[in-house]
Formats: sequence, C-alpha cells, structure tokens
Amino acid sequence: MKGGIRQSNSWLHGWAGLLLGWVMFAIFFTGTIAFFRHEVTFWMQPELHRTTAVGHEEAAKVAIERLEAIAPQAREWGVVLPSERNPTLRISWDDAGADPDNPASAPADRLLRDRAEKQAEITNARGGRPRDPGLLLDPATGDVLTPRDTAGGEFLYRFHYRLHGLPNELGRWIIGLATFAMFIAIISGIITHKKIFTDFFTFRAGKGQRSWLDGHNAMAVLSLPFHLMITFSGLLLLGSTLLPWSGGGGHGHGGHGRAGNDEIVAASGTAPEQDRIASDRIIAEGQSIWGAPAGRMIFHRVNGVTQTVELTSQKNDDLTLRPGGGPGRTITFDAKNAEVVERTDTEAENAIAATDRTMVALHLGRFAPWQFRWLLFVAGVAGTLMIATGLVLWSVKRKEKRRGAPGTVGHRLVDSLNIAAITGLPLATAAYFWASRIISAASPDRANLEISIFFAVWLGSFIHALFRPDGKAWLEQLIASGLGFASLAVLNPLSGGMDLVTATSRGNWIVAGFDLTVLVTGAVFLLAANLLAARATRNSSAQPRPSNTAAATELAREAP
Amino acid sequence: MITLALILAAFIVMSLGMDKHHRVFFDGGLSKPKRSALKGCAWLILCFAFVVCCKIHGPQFGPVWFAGIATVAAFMTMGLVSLRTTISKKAR
Repeated sequence: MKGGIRQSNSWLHGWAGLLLGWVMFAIFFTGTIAFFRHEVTFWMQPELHRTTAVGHEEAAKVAIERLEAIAPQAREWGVVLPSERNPTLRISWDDAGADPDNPASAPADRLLRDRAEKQAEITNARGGRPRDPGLLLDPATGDVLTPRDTAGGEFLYRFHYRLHGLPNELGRWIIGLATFAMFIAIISGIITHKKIFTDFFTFRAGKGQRSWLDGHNAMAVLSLPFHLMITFSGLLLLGSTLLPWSGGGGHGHGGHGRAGNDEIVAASGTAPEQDRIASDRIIAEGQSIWGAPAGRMIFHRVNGVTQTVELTSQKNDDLTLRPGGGPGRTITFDAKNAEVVERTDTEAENAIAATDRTMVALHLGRFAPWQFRWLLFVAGVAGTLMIATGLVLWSVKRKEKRRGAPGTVGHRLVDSLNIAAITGLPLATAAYFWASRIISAASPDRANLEISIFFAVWLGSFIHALFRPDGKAWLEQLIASGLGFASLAVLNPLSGGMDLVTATSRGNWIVAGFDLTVLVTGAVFLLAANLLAARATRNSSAQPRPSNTAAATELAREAP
Repeated sequence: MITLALILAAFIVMSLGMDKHHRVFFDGGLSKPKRSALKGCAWLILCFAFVVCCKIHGPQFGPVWFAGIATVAAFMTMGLVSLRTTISKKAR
C-alpha cells in the first residue's frame, strides 16, 4: 500500500465522497426535512391550520358518528386519532362486499363517499402504501375538511430513499450505492483524521482551506454516532434491494401490515353505533395499559354492526417492537363492553431481530417525541453540512493548488454541481413550499405541478451556476434561498394559513415551528451571503491590479 | 435539561484539559497532572450524566437521548471555545 494506510484512506475518502457526494447531500437534506414530514404536509395545507384539538374520546365519538352516516355497511372502519403531529381526525372505510348504493346513506353523505373514493384512486395511483377511501375531519365539530391536494412532506421523504421519476428499484439502487459510498467515506474519514481527539472542539474561522477542513471535521466528528447510525440503518433498510437473495428483512420504508382479528363473532344489536360502541372505555383502557396515547382504531364489522375494535398505540415505547418503527402494540377489544379480546406486542424473536429493529426505529424516528425529533433534525443538519463542506473542500483544495490558474472543465463542472446541490436544492425546496401556496387550490394535478416546480428550479440553479462566475453564482443563490425561505413566513398568512403570532398564541406549534424554522433558515442563508460578499470585497481590495489584459481576464473569471 | 447541562459542563472541562484550548483561555501551558485531573473530571461528569439520562428516560431510550444531547452539547462547546478564541485575539 503506497503512501501508508492513512494516505490510501484519504484518497478513498476524497473520491468516495465526491463521486456520490451530490446524491448524498440530496439524501441528507431531504431526509432531514422528512423527520418533520407530517408537519410539512400540514403547513402546506392551510385549510387545516385552524383545526381545533380535542381529546381522543371526543374525537372517536365524532368519527363513529360520521362513519355510520357515510359507510354504514362497510366491513371495516379506520380512525386515525389526532396527535401532536397532526390535530386532524382521519376516517376511512373498506366497502368491499357492501352494497355501493346503500340506501342507509343520505345523498350528501353518498356524495362525500364518492368523492373520497375518487381521491383514494388518485392517491393510490401515485404509489406508496394503498389507502382505503377516507376523509379528514375537524375533531371538534365533525366538519369535513377539504385541504388542497399536495405532494407535501411525503414527496421529500420518498425522494430521500428512492428519488423521483425513476423505477422504484433503480431509485433504491442509486440511493443504496450512495449510502454505501457514504459508509465508506465515514470509515475512511475516521482513519484519515490524524487529530480526532486533539482537534475535537476546534474550529478556526477565516483561514481558508483550514477553516473548511475544521468545519468538515467538526460536523463529522461531533455527530459521528448519528452519522454511523443513520448510514448503517439506511443500508439495512435498503437491504432487500442491495441483497435481493437475502429474502428481505421484513421491513422498509412504508408498507405496514395490519394485525387484524379475523375471528369475528356473529352480529347483534341495532342501536346506533355511537351508543353501542364503548369507545370511551376502550381508549381509556388502552391508554392506561400502555401509559401512552392511542393512535389508531380499526372497527371490525359484520352486517353493519361493529364487533371488535383494534386499538393501536400512537408511538412505540420500545425500540425493538415491529419492523419499520411503527406502532407495535395493539389491543383488540369487544366493541360493546370494552373487554380485552387479544393483546399483540410485536416483540423481536431474538437479539439479531432486536438489533435490526432498533437500528431501523432510530433511522425512522417514529418513536420520537418532539424534543428528540429536533435532536435528530439538528444531527441531520450537521450531516448535510458535513457533506457540503466536504464537497467545497475538494474544490477549494484544488483551487489553492492552481494558484489563480483557470481550472479544467472537470473542475468547472464540480464547482457548478456543488452550487446546484448546496444552494440549488434548498432554493428548489423553498420554491416547492411556495408552489404549494401559489398554485390554485382547485388546480387539477397540482401535487405533480408542485414537484415539477421543484425540479425546474433545481435545474435552473444548475444552469445558473454553469453560466455565472463561481462567486457570483454562490452569492446570488444564497440570497435567493435566504429570501425564498424567510418570505414563506409572510406568504403563509397571505395565502390562507395561520400567521406566526396567532399560531404561537394558540399553541399551534406545527405552524409556528415551521414558520420559525424557515425564518431561521432564511436568516442563515442571508448571513452566509453577507459573509461571502464581505470576503469578496476584502479580497478584491487586497489584490494587486493586474498588469496585462490576459491576467485581468483570468482574475475576472475567478473573482466572485 | 439537566443532562444537557451536565454534558456541556463535562465538555467544557474536557476542552480545558486540552493543551490548545487551555492555552487560549489562560495564556499558559498545561501541566500533565492538571491535564489528567481535568480530563478525569470531565469523564466522571460524563458518566454521571449518562446515568442520570438513563434514570430519566429508561435503559433503552436513555443511551439514545444521551447520544443526541451530547451531539448538541458538543456543538455548543465548539461554539463557545471558538468564540473565546476570537475574543481573546481581539483583546490582544
């Protein structure tokens, strides 16, 4: 091994990091936002911002009443109870085997049912987990909420593990290879880093290449446990794609099975369902058993009468429960007297399964309360910055070696790709959030239009980076991203959403949190632009005036 | 919050036990016994913080919370140490 193990690893670190660095950056950036994907979707649908939060018991009664009116003959009802991440109430039904023209439904309710079924067809055509037709309700009033169609946080979430517009398997393969390259880059980076302990808390600002290296090292080392966990668990999640002969781990992004209770006793009773089902006692009993809030209810029905109710916890209180990190505790109750019929805790069979499930649960973060979700978000931002600083460092190193000489086409391409990834992707994301508000709510296929705007802006940022001098391209895109994000907080109330002051005073932390986050993000981008502009001014005033035309042309091309 | 405070304290003590940071803070070198004492003290506080965290969040979630909070505390320490460096240079 020529040059020793450290040099070899340094080479590997540099190239593994560069070649798939832009994909890694996109994975980390969108994946970090995906920790708050439900909140992002909620913000993108301003029609939901004024939903009133109520207790689970009250919400369940509202849901049952609505379901009985809309789908009285359904063989199964589903209710997703309000949570801290989404205060709305979702009801759904499975009409298989029921009479579609059931006279029990009033015309208005049949219209709602038809509309929901059409919407389900459209949503299911987009891919992902098939969903039964359903409606969103205000849990306090029972009013049907009709939010605009949006790709929401779900698009960013899916993009981070299978990209977009590619066959599912191909997208997963590309992400898998990038994740593998990331894992190699992390391990080789640890080996390469000479002063991992001595420079543990060190960051020397304003020293060119040294500062970029310090920044890169700090972002990598200080959140190393997160980087190792998220990359390794990412590989586990993509295991069935990367190792198809392994038979899959029984988990992945999305795709949860339903632990149903097929043994349903004979139908009985004709009283209204909201009187017959002991939903209050069922929820209270379930929550007292788990010591955690209930999340979902499934009503198993025969001949229009609910026999049993399956209650699922909102979050896991155990990392080893159920693959995928989704709620793994279920209790089936007798609908009438709230007696426990069956308890299912999907515990791991052995230590290997437990380890696997723990890693996957940590990656998905579904168990996490909001405070821990923020910790994951901060670590995700650190990972994103680690990749960004690594990519810039590669460029800066070569630029310093060239000492003002123009770079090759390859260098120019790397610089443009860096700009398009590091400032272009955030700019495209800001445009995506903007699109959710400026496209007419009634516009057909508006979710796809949002996605098209996202990619159009991203492509535009790359073209802009190709044709502008580096420094100017960085500066302009930083300013555009900063303004794009910060203005979202202003756009929100102007386009039907709840303004920041009202959201804060009413304790609507989903909307307030989003607005505050985009304001801070915008401020950070503008601050970075300001620093860059100040440095450019400093450099240009310190530089000697070139004596000939060739040198002047060269400097003009290089200077920001 | 108590875990964050403990880990932050541990990291600050640890950074003071590092020659480079100690020099910036106190304009003087660090003797070997002093360095060992500071680092030992930092590790003790870290261990204590870990126990406290596991006590609060349970044996399964405690280590996960500890790793997350330690990451934030490490960034805060880096910020404090770097800021101190800049201030001391300006003062000189």
